[in-house]
Amino acid sequence: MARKRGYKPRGHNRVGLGLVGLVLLAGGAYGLAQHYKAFGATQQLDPILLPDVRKFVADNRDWFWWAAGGVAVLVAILALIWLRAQLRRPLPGNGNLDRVGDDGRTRLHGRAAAHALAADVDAMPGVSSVAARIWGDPTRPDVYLRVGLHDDAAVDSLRSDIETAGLDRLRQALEVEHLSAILDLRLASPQGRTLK
Amino acid sequence: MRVTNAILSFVLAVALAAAGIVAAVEIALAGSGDAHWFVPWEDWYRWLLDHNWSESVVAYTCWGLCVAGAILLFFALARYRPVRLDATPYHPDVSPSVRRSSLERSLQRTAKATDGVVAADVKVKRHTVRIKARSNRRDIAGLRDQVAESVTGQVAVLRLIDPPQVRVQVARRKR
Repeated sequence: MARKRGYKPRGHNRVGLGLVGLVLLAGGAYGLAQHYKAFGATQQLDPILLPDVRKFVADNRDWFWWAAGGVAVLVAILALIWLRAQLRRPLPGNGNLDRVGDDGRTRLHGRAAAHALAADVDAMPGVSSVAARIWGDPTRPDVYLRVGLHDDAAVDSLRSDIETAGLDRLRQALEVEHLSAILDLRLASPQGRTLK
Repeated sequence: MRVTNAILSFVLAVALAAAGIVAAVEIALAGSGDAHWFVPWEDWYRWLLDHNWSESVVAYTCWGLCVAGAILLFFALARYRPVRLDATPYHPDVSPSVRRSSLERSLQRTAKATDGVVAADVKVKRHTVRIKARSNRRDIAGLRDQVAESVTGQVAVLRLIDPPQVRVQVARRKR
């Protein structure tokens, strides 16, 4: 089966924004409930740092500040993981495909193979632009192919050519049976002139 | 919307990471008996003891927190239009898709190529393609079907896994 499309941080962003949003909303709602006497008129006159909270911290000072420090470190680590997920590139760059056999090691430069694939697809009629990347497992490489197609091209047969014959030639060149290809199609303006 | 989501996420992640590190350092310094490093927590502590929940500054702050939380939740739960629409592959090794923005422009060109249509606004969503076309004719009988037919044909050629339903509105020339 084909590989899942390139990595996107959107899921992390939704979870992160949702959690922070919930915490802010809960904190704000609690404060408003105290302010508008939802917990009683006397509670409204309590200091913001509630006496019960101060008592709890004082009674458990042996472990409380260790736990608070641990939570602060945990929050920082989770935030850094979230940040890293946002800064990660959606797809890796070209990689070398190294194979070790009885006769030694063979290295195929992913960049060269990607250029050859792009040139092959670019020569097909109706293609307006091509970009390719190849990386990953040398026995089942990952391929990313971004192809611009003119509106007036025979999109159906062109896609069939790229996905079957075009990638078959790549399989033969790389001497692999399977690969995982992501085909990112973009529709461009027609090649021919239009009279209105 | 998607850009706002990304900017908010970046700012929040940086702020949370910084806050976590500063809090951990301040706790460690306070534990070892040293004075504060970055946050004047002694002043904050006194302020929290000197003020109560009835004060208006508390209400304003809490309303602010509620609004900020609601905005973040809105962005977290918002449904975005897809960046790409998945297409049926010709080979099991391939996972093809069509970029939505390019499809919108292509369908706009298709709609505008119909005789009698001078402008078209196209919005592609997950399940629908909505086209608002403007004609230079007063009589637009049959024009809606012509636009719908050519746009549906263009969508069909792409062999999308979940082809969106095409909805067309045509506005006639006013004068």
